[in-house]
Amino acid sequence: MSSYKAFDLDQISLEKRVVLRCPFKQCNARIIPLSKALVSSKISIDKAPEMVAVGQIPSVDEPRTESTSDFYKVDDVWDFDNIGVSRAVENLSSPIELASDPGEPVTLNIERLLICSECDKGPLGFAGISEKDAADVKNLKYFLSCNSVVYDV
Amino acid sequence: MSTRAAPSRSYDMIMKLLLVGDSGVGKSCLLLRFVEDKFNPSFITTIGIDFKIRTIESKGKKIKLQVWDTAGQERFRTITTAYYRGAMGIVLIYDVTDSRSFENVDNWFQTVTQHANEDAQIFLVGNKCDDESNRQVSKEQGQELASKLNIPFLEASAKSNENVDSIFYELAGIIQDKHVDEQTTSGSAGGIDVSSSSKSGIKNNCC
Repeated sequence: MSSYKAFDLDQISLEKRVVLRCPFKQCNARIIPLSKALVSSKISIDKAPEMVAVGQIPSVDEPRTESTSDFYKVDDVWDFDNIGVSRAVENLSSPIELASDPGEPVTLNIERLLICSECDKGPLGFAGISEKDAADVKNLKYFLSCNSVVYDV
Repeated sequence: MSTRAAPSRSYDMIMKLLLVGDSGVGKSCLLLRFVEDKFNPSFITTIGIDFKIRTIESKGKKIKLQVWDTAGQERFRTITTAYYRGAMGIVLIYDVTDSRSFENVDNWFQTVTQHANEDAQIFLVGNKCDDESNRQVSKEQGQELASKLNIPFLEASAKSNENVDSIFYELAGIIQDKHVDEQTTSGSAGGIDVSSSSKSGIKNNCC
């Protein structure tokens, strides 16, 4: 297990199966496999809600939350192996703007938090939805904090 | 390599499951443990969990479960219709310490059979079985009702974690068997690759 900071994303090759796991020592449930697509989905988000932070130690035993800006964007919730999605709350944090090709940037309202579905701890990420798509939960976009999971190489 | 025709999915089957029952029977607790520490922040417990994705192994297959909590929706029978859409399994929960919730199982069973897919599997659960001193509904009563309704039954406790996982494993196993049966009886050998079925669930049930 290694932490995000100790992990070189460039090492990723298709042969190597890296799995992102829950950072809590007693749990370490599979959250999502790290695919090329996931790696290239990495984006920087300012003013995101605070997340669990993995320190230099590979697995969280003395965890804390801190602000972070590195996230993997996951469009399909079925890509996750294990994840818990909270109910919607208003104003979890300010809306974020995402570039979209083609067209205008999309504004997402941040309204849900993600937790591990095995140990119920988190937040490991958040989810947002654009106003015009808000009627269907299938349109949620998920953001998994790069530094809130451990990397099982 | 080109031996793999399509990019393989990371699962063999997906299932949408629903938790229903009177308010207060502990639906949410079956989905979200009520342990409060720094990283199970009270606000998550307060907000509650809408749904969870869990991946389990059953009979050598990797199954992804999407489990929905309908807590807070009990009053809105019309809204729940949307919840039932596509659900392959429904966990009907009562509280063994509350006989009224047990009496309501029949009503819930009606509602569910009205709104859910015809082939959705219903599963009866008596929750809070750890609380023997306040028990109002015996295990035998639960079993009796379940066999009357012709559905499987378990007693569970979200508090002691007894049987919580078993509910999901057993229900998933039953749905899995049903699906395999339908596949073989429909005589559609070949051509159907479960692993590449669409995301809205298994769609190759012809009838």
